Parts: sequence; structure tokens; C-alpha cells
Amino acid sequence: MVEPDRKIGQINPFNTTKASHLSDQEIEDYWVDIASDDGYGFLEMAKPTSAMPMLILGGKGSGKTHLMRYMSYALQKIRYEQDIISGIKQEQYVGVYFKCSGLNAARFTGKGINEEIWGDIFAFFMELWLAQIVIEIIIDAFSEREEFIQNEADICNDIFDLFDSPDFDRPSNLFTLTRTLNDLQKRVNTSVNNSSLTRSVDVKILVTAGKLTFGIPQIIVSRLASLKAVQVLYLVDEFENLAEPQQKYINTLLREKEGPCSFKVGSRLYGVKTFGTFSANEENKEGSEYEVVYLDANLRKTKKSYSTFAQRLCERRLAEAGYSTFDLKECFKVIPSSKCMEELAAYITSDKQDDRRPYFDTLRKNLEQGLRSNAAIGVRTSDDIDRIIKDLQVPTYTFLEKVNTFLLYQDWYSGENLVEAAAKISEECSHFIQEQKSTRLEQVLSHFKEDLLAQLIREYQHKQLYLGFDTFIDMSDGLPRNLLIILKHIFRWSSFNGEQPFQRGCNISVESQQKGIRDASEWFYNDARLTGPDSETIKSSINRLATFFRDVRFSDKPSECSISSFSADISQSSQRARQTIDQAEKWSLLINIEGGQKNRNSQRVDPKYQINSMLAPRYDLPVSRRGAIALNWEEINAIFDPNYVSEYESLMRERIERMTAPLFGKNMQPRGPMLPGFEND
Amino acid sequence: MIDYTIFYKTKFKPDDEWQEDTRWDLLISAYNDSERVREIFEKANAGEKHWLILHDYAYEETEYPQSGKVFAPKDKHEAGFIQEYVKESKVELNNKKLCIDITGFMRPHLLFLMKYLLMNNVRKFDVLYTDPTSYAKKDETKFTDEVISEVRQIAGYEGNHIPDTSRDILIIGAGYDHQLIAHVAENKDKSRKIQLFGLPSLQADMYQENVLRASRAAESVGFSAGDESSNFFAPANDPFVTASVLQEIVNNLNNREPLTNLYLSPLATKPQVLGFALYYLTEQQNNAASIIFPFAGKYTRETATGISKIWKYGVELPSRII
Amino acid sequence: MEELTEKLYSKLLTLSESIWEGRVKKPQIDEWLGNFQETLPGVPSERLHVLYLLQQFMYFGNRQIRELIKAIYRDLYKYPIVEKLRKDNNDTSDTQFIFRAFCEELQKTRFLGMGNPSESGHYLLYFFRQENKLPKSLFIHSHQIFSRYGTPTVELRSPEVSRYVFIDDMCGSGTQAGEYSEQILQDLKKLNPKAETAYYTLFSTTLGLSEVRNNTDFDRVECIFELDDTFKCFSAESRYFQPGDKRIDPRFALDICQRYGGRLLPDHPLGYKDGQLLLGLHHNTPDNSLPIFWYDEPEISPWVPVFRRYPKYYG
Repeated sequence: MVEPDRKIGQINPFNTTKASHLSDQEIEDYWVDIASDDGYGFLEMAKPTSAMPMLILGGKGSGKTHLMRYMSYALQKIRYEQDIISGIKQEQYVGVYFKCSGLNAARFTGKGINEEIWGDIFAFFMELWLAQIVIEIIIDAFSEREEFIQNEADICNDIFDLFDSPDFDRPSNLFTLTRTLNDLQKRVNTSVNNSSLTRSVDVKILVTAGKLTFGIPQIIVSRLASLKAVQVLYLVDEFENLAEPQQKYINTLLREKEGPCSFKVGSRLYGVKTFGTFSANEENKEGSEYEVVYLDANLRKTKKSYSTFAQRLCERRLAEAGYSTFDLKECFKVIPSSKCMEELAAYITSDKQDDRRPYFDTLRKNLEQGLRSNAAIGVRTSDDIDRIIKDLQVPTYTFLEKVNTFLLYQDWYSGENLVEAAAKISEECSHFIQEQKSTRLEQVLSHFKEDLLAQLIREYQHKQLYLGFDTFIDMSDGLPRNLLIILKHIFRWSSFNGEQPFQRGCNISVESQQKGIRDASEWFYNDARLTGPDSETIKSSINRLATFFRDVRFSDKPSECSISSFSADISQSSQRARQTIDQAEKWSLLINIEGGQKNRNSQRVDPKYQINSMLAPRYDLPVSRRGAIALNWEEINAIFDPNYVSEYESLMRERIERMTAPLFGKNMQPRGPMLPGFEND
Repeated sequence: MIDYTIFYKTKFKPDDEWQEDTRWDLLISAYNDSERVREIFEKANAGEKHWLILHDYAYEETEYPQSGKVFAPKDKHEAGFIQEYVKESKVELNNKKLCIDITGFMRPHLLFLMKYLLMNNVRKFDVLYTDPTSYAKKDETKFTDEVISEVRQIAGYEGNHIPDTSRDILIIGAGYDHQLIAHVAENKDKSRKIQLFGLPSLQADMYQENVLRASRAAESVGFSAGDESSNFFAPANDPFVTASVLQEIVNNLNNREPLTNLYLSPLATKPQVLGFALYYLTEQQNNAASIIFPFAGKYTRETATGISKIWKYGVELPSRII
Repeated sequence: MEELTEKLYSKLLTLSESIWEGRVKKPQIDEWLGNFQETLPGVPSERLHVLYLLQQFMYFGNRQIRELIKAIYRDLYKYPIVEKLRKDNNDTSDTQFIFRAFCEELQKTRFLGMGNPSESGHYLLYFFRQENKLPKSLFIHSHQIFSRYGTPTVELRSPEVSRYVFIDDMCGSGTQAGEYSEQILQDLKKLNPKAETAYYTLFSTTLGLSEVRNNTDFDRVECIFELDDTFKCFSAESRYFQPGDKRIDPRFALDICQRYGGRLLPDHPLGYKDGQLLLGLHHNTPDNSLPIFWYDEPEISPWVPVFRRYPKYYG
């Protein structure tokens, strides 16, 4: 029996979406730098030769690990296969990469043992751990070289002397030394591991904290001439895996850093639990003890570079999987945009049997209600209603009818005579069609086109459309992994639907894109796998916010266009609400928009947040960010503070009513006697 | 090389007569709402019967069972819990014919108990496990409330890890609970992952249900259930074959290129958990290997329906560590 | 309803990727759905109901089948022998000794496929040998049990053989196993009453199992997966509508299967001997499964299967 044939098309080229799942060689192969014109790429951002320690922060999937591994010795070795030493010399640093998860640091706490003792043991353990990694790199890089052979004994002696009270023999070579360090580490392990049974821990600390971490690089650099002026760069990945006191220990190393060492500490946005140190409990300050790079924020800032970078990343993936490269934008079916959106109209009406216009049905209902409650100026009889609707009709252009309807709602909101307004709209519309002069339609479309299309799509009971490679790049918004995940899911559906995704001549169908994008969005929501008791609060807050945005977007007269952001003076809101916003930002559910938003009334600049575009399909929101709705502190509390949730419904209803016909939030009395057939229900 | 598959196992149906060799001095079981746990406790022939009340099911004192001796240690940590039980019950474990019904146990407690027995020289004892007919909501069954507080090593399975993490492996006993799988996979984000699925499953349809559920963690694990090189099988109700499959996977990987650190995370059936424990205690103690587990807030008290088969395993712990 | 359809398709996508070996994708599913009435507003949808059944369909691919074949050898054949060896030898844990003694037993065993050599029992045997790394000499056809079979001087070809193990993929009603083995077993037992005969299958219905246990001369009858009545799609205890979905009506599903099944196989609308199974295997779909899934004889009745069955033509 032959195994199923696994050729191109059956293997999803986007299956591996994490750098952690890639081999060193793959990291090198997949390395794609951001292509900025001024040559400012990832390495310029990460500055591997800078002496100033750096925190590399980024959301999940922002490429931290990829970047940090790229700077590691293992990758340097691949880059300089022929002569690693001259490679190191050229790059002026050697990268000592390690992951905090490998420490299994949760062992160093509790079990009835004093936390201070744990702190000392952890520090000792880290000394042994880092020393081994550094020495192994040196052995690997130098073992054959004359300068090393001549100096090895001295290096060993110097290192031995770093210990305060060694209880082992002076090692004769580095290999023996690593064995000894490994034995010492085993002793610590055994004692720590048994402590859950014995409720005690017996570890003899042989070296002062920091002594090996800084001392060994100093010895090596001074003893090996070819490493002169080379920085030993500790690449500490997955900082979030350490508990607070353990992070404090690393922070102390950063603070008390000695040449030729420096640090890059990689962490998720939420991963930094403290900036405190053990150096007289001082806190590390940005700018003096460390600098910070926000990876995804940086990528977002350079939108054009990110887009090119993201595209190259995907092309690379496809090429690796054996696909021939061609323009990715051509791989996806999109519905072309046009002045009157005929193709979109054809798409949404194609499965409809009758000629019903849902937006007119709703408008008619609203006008009837307005008539009943005396809230539609100029509308006196049902004939008036017919006339209005007739004026708004443009039978060949569904979309324009929708635009006209919206214009009428605008006029309604402004208190215009609706019969007259409709006639005027009709006139403007024919001008628009004939392209005679600038019309109100043009102005409205420049702001609300996307929203009106969204409303139309929804009214025809279709799912919102998120189509095309550019849309996916926008959705991933600085997090390359999200883009890969979108493509992965689209590939899955496309292949299941019997298409040949990413092969020449194949246009991935609208359906496959729609399904894939929704799965990716759902994944993003669920994958925000927040640990701890606040996770539900954060998620339900995001739910409330997004639902509110959706209600605005699909209201009769949305106050803002393309809404996915809010601004607020959050300092006025409760501490809990602020906390939730902060955490949602750290989990990349909300994105802090640099520069904030000027408050229309007070001219004060308020912070502004956008809901992550990956969530857009989940709530039918726009991917692009335009309008930001200003929320007051009460509304912020109702959304983000569980203690005020009970107020959410009424506060939001009040807001939405202002955007809803017939009353638009105004309190009006019904007029006198009703015409037959228009009585109150 | 040890051959785990020679150890004794017997299966019988709930209505079968309990044989002569199913007589023990002490039966230890963990209390929950399952019919399969309670019925076995009633039926088993044991001089003394102990119920353990685990925190994870959140029972009130008024809900405690009436039969047998009830122990509800306060310590939430698996090591503290078991030690407190032994202290409180004053039970001498190593000169008794001992039987443990693992059906209702929490995995960490079960794992630590095995280690504790080994440390106290209890080398041979019986273990009971009851197969359900089906899980209550098939592939939608929730076993935990899915809020994970932390992922950490299990006491007694903490190993001697090394700094080189370039060939770290995480073997996940992939059960129905995709959230647990995802958490554990993310915790060892940078390791290569291998999933072990229960096949033969407890029932014919459970393998498929299992794969469907576990595939929801595909993004965290980094590959899908269709990926052959990363998915392996071991019977859902056989600890011994499970141990021997682990042995085979690890040896094969090691032969290709030595592993750096090994992480095991048994998230599937209890017999598989037992298999993981057996393998670890026999072959991996003091190596760069540990068992890690995602701790969830609360567990569902009843997930399965019916009793299909009862298994009795004759566990033989190693007399010396390999 | 649309929501449920979408949910089902999502599940089918995962099944297609992870379980079905990429064999069935949406175009095939849609083609199969074309057998059923188009969904109209206001009436229960046939297509929705059969989709619901499809996502419950148990499929075992090549790799899974091989794993189950290993389990037959390891759990059904080898384990009891080793257990006995240990018990007879003071619970020995001496693996060398156990290994040697087991090999002796193995040498005295012959494995056979159930049924005609062209049937799946024999097909499985090939994998059985591969997966369990067994020598070819242990595998025979049933006619190789005897010398001079059919003559008065019939004798056992290898009198030293003490175990005859018959392998098959599926024991549905048990009749076939009974019919096929009746004569062979009788003759065999006559010549060597002590020879142990076993019948091991991957799957067996509870009914089939007891049928073979009660009505044949096999000493051991075991399977890897026993399918009790809960695996019968429309039985009172059926597991396929538990917990179910309120949009799915089991009676309507039954009606569909009976109606279309009746057109395809008038005598067995719900599968051979009313099997009602939702089971497909890599190499074939058992005829005890619902025919709407597998029926593939376009010259008799036009029907597009989703997991086709390669029919058995009895000559």
C-alpha cells in the first residue's frame, strides 16, 4: 500500500508559525529583514554591539525569538561557516542565547522554604547555568585554535579563582570545568528537587552572584586576543517565564553589568513583572539602566516597511515549500472596488430570489414610526413616505440607493424636511452618476464608504468581507505571526474546498478567505490564553467594547466612520478599569495608538486605543482605523471594570439611540390623532 | 532494557465475579461523582478502604461519602497532600497488599503517589481503572474549568536539566482537553513537540473525538494531527505499553541525535499517566528529564457515563534505577 | 441552521486533514450531498442530517489500522502467552527467559487470514507481518494447515503447531466467520484436539462476538474494538445522538437512511444484517455500515459514495 502522496498543495507552507519550531538553519533561511529605505532594519533596532542592556518587548508572534536567535552564536556559526572567529570579530559580539523556560524556575519557590534562601539558590544556579553556556561556546569556537591551546590553562585558573570557596579540584581544561559546573548544578538540582519531600534545602553557595556571569567573559576576552573588543551578549529569552524575584535577579545583573558583557532580554509585553533589583532595592530606569524596543509597535510605525517585510516573509515561506514565487496579491480573489460598486452589489444579491431592498424596508419602518411619533419633519402621510423612497431609488445601482438612504438619515438627524431632502438627494445622486460636479455623495463616501458597504453586506445577510493580501497584512498589524496564521487557515480551507492555493492560476475563493480569516480571528481571541483570575474580565471587556463598536457601525447614522478605536481620559476612570485596559494592551488585544487623540472639547490629548484588527472579523469591524469614539469615564468603567458592568447596557443604549432613527436620542411627543393605519402598536 | 509489557494486567466486566486475586488489605480511591468510581469502591474486596477528597473537585464537607474512611488533607500541593494523608491515616504502606483505584485521581497526585511509594519501598501493588462507555459530551466534554493557574514540574519528577536546550523534546500525552495541551506546549514553547494519542482508544469513537479536540491546540503545538512524524500512539488503557512506547520514542530520538532536555506531560487517560510515571521512575530519574503539568482551577466531578470494563494492573516499580 | 452547517463543515475540515488522509474534501462531500434532496426553507434538511452523520463517521486510516494490527499481536496474541509464562515460572521478570520461551511459542503458531485469500483478512495479514516483524514461515493459507486435504489420509502439515490464529478486520454478524471456519476447525480439532484456535479482529459487534463464541469451535475470540449497540446508529442507546443537537431529529435521519438505503440495497437498507454502523477503514468500508456512505455500483443504482466500498463479488 502506498502512503498518500504528499506533494505540493498538500503540505501547508504556513503550518509552522512560530520561530521556536524552526531549526537554526531554518531561522537563518527564513530571516527576512525589514526593508526600510534608510537601511534601518532589525539589527539596527536591536543594536547587538551596544553596551546598553535592552529589553526587547513584543506581543506574541512579533518575532522576538526569531530576532534573538538570529543574534545567537548558533546562527553566527551558520553565517560564518568558514571561519566563525573572524565572523565574531566582524560582528563584534558573540551571542549567548538561552531560554528562561529551560530553568524550570517554578521549582525555586515555596515548599515551606524562606524566599530569601530561594533567591540565593536561584542566583547560584544561574551562575552555573550561564557559565556553562559561555564556556561551551568558547570550546566550540576555539578548541582547535593555537591561541586557545596556549591559553587554556590560564583561563581555567582564572575562572577557578572566581569561586569564593571551591570544594572541587582546579580544572586542567575547559572541558573538565564544564563537567565540574555540571556536577555542581546537579547537586543544586537534587537538593531543590528533594525539597518538596524534605521541606528543606541544603545547597552550599560557592560563588558570589554575578561573579561568573561577568568574570568569565572578562577572562576570555583578556586571554584570547582575537576576541579583543568583542562584546559577550547575553540573550535572555522568555523573560515572562520567571517569577518576580527571579526577574529581580536578572534586573540586578543588568544594573550591575560589567564589560565586556551586555544583555538583550526578550519578553512578552505582559511579561515584565518588576523593574526592581537587589541593588539596595533600586529600580532600573529606562534610559539609564536599559533601553526598550517595542517590536510590534516599531513594525506598525513603519507601515510600508512592514508590508514589504511581511510580503517577503510569506514569499520566502512559499519558496521554501517548493512553490514558485509570484505576486501574492494575485493569489486571492477580491471584489474590485468601483465608483458604484456594481460587482459587490452583484455578489451580495446573486443568491436572492426577489428584488427586495432591505435598507428601504427598514427606512420605511423608521419613517412610519417617525410619522407616528411626530419625529419626521415633512412626512405627513404614507404617500410622503412612498415619495421619499421613490426619490432615493436608483434601480441599477444598489449601492447608491444605500448611500442615498444614509444621506437621508443624516438629514433626518439634522432636522431637515425629509420630503425635500429626498428630492435633493435624488438630484445629487444623478449628478454623481453623471460625474458632473462634486456632490454630497462624494464627501460621504470619502468617509463612510466602508461602513456603508458593511451595512449593505449585512442587510443582504452576507458575512463581512475581509479579502486580499493587503487586508491580511493590515490585520496582522505588526505581528508577522498573525499574518502567517491567517494564511495558514486560508490555505486549509482553500485546500479543503478543492482549490490549489498559491499555485499559478489559482485565485483563492472568497469563501475560503472568509472561512480562514474567521478561524484565524477566533484563534486570536482564544489564544489570548491569559492565565490567572483576570483573564475573564479582560476577555469580556473586549467583548463589550467590540460589541459597542459593532452597534455603532451598523446604526442608522454612525457618529464615526470605520470605528475600531476609542479615546478617553482614562485617568478619570476606576483603577480596575485602567488595569484592565493596561492588561488588554499587554496581551495585544488593544493597541495603544501613539500620539493619542485631541479631545474636541477640552483640547486635552487623551490616550487612544484600537481594538486589535485580528478581532475585526469576529465582530464585523473594519480593519482600517479612522474614527475614534471619545468615551467618558463612566462608559470606560462600564466596559472595563466588572464592578460597573451593570451600567453597560443603559449607557451604550443611550449612545446608540443617538445614532438611531427615528428619534436619534431626542425625546419627542407623539402628535395628535393618528391617520388610519398608523395608530400606535 | 526493561520490557514493561510483561507486567500483569487483567480486565473484567462490571458484572463479573471478582476473582480471588482481587483481594487487598487496603484500597485507596479518589472520590468524585462518577458512578464508575463509587461502584468500584463499594464492590472491591479490601480490608480497609480509604477515600481521598481532592481539592480540585471542590467538595463541601457535607458532600463527603458515607462509606469507607475519608481523608481530606488540607495541603493543595500534590507532595504535601499525599504526605499529609499518610501521616493522618498512619497507614503503613509497605507491608500491605495495596490497591489504588486511579480512576478519580488527579494526575499530579497520582504521579506523586507513585514516586512516594517507590521512595518507601513499595514495589508491587495493584491499580484499578474503569473504562467509561462514553464521555458525557463527546468531543465537547469539558474536564476542567479551563483556567490554568500555572504550568510546572510535578514534585518528584523534576530532573537534572541542562542549559543546552537545542534539542529539547516535549512529549504530550494528548487527551481531550485541548486547553491543557495548549498551555503545556506554550510553556515549553521552544521545544520540539510530540503528541501521544490513545490508540486503541477506550472506545472505538474516542480516538477520533480525541484528535478533533486536540487539533484545537494545533497552533500552540505547532503541527496538526495529520503530521505523522510528530504523532505517536499508545493504548489509552495500558500503562505498560504506554511506558514502552515512551521508551521507544525517546530511544529512537536519542539514537538519531542525543536529546538535550526531555519533558513529559501526561494529559490523557489515567492508565497513560501511570505509564508515564512508570517510564520516568524506571528510566529517567536524575536525567535531564521531568514531568510537567498545567494546573487548572477546578475539575468537573463527572465527565463520563457508564462502566465498560474494569482493568487491574500489577504495577512493579523498579528495584533499582536504570 | 446555517450556523450548524458551518460548524459541521469546520469539523469536517479537521477530519479531512487529520483523520481522512485527505481522501475526502468538500467537492467530494458536496457531490455526495447531491444524492439527497436540496435544502428548502421550512422543511427539515436531508443534507444537514446526513452531514451530521458524516461528521460522526469513524474512519481509520492506514496508520491507525497498522497500529491496531500491532495491538492484535501485542495485546491479544502475545500478552496472554507471556502472562502464562510468567505465572508458570514464579512470576519471573527475567526478560531473556521470557523472550526465549515466547519465541518457542511463536514458532509453534501459524497466522491465517480469515476467508478467501482475496479478502481483507489476508490483506491485513501482510501488514500484520510487517508491523510485528514476523518471519514469513509463520503465515499460511488455510489449505496449508493440512496435507492431502480432502482425502482419507489427511494429516496436519506441521503437527508441532499448537496455535492457529485467524485474523480479520471486522466481525459484523459473525455468520461469515462461522461458515468459513466450521469445516476447517472440525478437521483440525480431529487431528489435534489440543491445538488452540483463535479468531482475532480489529472490530467486532457484540452480537458477532457472541455468535462466534457460541457457535464455532474457536477457543479464543477477541477483538480490539467491541462495538456494542451504542454504535448502532439508530438503536435506542445510540451514541450518535447523545447529547445531540435540537436541530437534528434522529427519526428523520433514520427515515432518510431507510428511504435511500432501501433504494440501494432493498434487503439491507441500513447495512448488512441491519448493521447500522458508521465505520470506514483505509482499505475498505464494511458492508455493516450504512449504505448511503459506501454504495458504489452505478450500473445498478446511480449513487455517489463518500467512503466507497469495494464490493465483494461472490462468484
